[in-house]
Amino acid sequence: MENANANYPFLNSEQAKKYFADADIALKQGRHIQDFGTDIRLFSFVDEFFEKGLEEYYKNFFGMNLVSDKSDNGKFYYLDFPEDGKGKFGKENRSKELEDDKVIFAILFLNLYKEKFFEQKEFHWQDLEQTFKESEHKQLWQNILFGKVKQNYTVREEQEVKDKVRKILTEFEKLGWVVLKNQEEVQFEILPSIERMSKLYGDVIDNVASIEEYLNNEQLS
Amino acid sequence: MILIVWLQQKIEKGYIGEDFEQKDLDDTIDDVVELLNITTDKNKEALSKKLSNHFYITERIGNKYQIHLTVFAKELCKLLIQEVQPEIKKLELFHVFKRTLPLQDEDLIDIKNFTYWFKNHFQPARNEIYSHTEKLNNEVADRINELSTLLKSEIENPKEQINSYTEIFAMLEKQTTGLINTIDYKNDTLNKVKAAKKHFSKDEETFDEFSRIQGEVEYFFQSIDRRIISINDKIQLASKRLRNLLDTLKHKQLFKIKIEKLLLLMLKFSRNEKGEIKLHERFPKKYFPFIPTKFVAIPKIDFQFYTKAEPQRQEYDRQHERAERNKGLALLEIQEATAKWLDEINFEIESGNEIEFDQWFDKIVEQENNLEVPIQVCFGLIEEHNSSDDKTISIVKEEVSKNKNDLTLWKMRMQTTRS
Repeated sequence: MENANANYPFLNSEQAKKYFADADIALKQGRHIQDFGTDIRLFSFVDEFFEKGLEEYYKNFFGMNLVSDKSDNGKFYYLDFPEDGKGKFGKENRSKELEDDKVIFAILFLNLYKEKFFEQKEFHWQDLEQTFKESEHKQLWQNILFGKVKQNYTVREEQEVKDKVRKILTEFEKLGWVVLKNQEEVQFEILPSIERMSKLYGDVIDNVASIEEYLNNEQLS
Repeated sequence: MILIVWLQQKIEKGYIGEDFEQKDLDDTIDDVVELLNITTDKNKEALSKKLSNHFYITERIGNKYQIHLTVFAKELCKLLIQEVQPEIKKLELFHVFKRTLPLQDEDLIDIKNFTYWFKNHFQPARNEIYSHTEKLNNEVADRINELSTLLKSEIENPKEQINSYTEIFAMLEKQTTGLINTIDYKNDTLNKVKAAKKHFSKDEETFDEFSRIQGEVEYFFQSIDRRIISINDKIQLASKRLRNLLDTLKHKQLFKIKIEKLLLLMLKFSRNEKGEIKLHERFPKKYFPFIPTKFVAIPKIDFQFYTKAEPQRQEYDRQHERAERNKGLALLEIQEATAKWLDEINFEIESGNEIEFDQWFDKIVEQENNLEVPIQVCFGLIEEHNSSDDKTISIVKEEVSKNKNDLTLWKMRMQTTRS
């Protein structure tokens, strides 16, 4: 046992007794741990022991990569699949798909995050409403959110969309991509770990021109 | 000129009357002298003399001298205020901070003085500080808003622009620091107010008034602190980003454009199916590691991703199965043979012949090579004919020994009884 602990020095630490279990569960649930809010303690634990056996631990026992990543605004950690498979997370019920609606909103938030390069990344429902109703691509937004483009929407239709966005934000909060400052009013801050989308969809972003060509050709044919 | 403008501003704000006194003029001169760092009294006097010729008039009313600004001075001030408003604001703020916000010992002598300080010094100062902070906040917001254009690809000379913005933000930073420093004596003011609490607790009415003022003063300092810190944070963040942007501008612009394009493509080629957003299949699905701690709902299982379930094959003993099968077949053979012999014997009986079963027994055993068959035939005959009216079975308890199979039988005879 002592020998095993020598390879994973974090196991001998006092912090591990306090924070390892929580950090481990959070990481295995897809969370991005960063120096923010309730994650601060977990972040300092992972940050301190990343090179002291923690990275190796996930590689050796789970076949997973504990990734240390950073954006312009801060550092964050997450568990990622290795290039050639899913490690011990390949079995059923050990991975989760990022659903289509969430993909679109995650890309929207990544874009907003980049847009607010010089500012704090805090947003209100009104900001999103402006995007859906007044932006250049408002019709496209309305089409996918409401299912039809109209001059005015009923209170119920509006509420349904707001609920949908709130649900997506709650999911993103679990992943550590945003923090909901006021759930009822849909007021939230986008966190640095939204940059994960740049990695996750890196291949798609890099090949966006060829994808555009493919889709346009398909539309023509 | 600053002196005249400042006098006009004081009149407009109600700090002094339209007809003011020499003391008000002297105070205003002091403000300007301090602002402009004029160090000699000679300059002060010269300044006052020069201005008196055209800009204000001194009149004796009773035993007092009263001063008022000329129409020309007022018109000139209006023009100047429109043109150089920001500079005037700075002067105003400077005055407000320096002269009115700090609490002097005489302000705390009694509740009357304290209330006077609150109404005539603190409140105007508070309004000015709020207004100035708001202006600064708006200016910072406007500049930050302009910064986002730096990330657009069509921008010309981005590096020069970044440098110029860096300078603008350095200036804004200075202003904020100045603001923070200016109200740095808040602790001094607050401590003085708190220390005076005992002094004002003699009667309830005085204490209530004192507490109300103290509450408002504390609230103001707390809220203005938060506001200024927030402005400062914005400036710091923008300045830091500007420094980073110098190195990675090109890359960031390109990446941002690609993300925008991807978002547009996703929007363009997605559809809403019964309230669910569906992406075009050209966009790949991505997965996260995820081990649920509990099922919050019945899990949705798409069976195409799961191995198809085959019914589990039962393990069985082939030898036993064969034995059972043979046993069944043997039983069937016995039943078939029994039925055949019963038919034959019945035919004999029906034909009027007497059946001596021991003889038939031998015959059956010989042909079938199985003792079970004649025994079953015997039981069958007894069962079939025992209750019959026209047939009799008689069993004589006389033993008939058989050579084969070590058997002993009783004599059994069957015949038809014709009535």
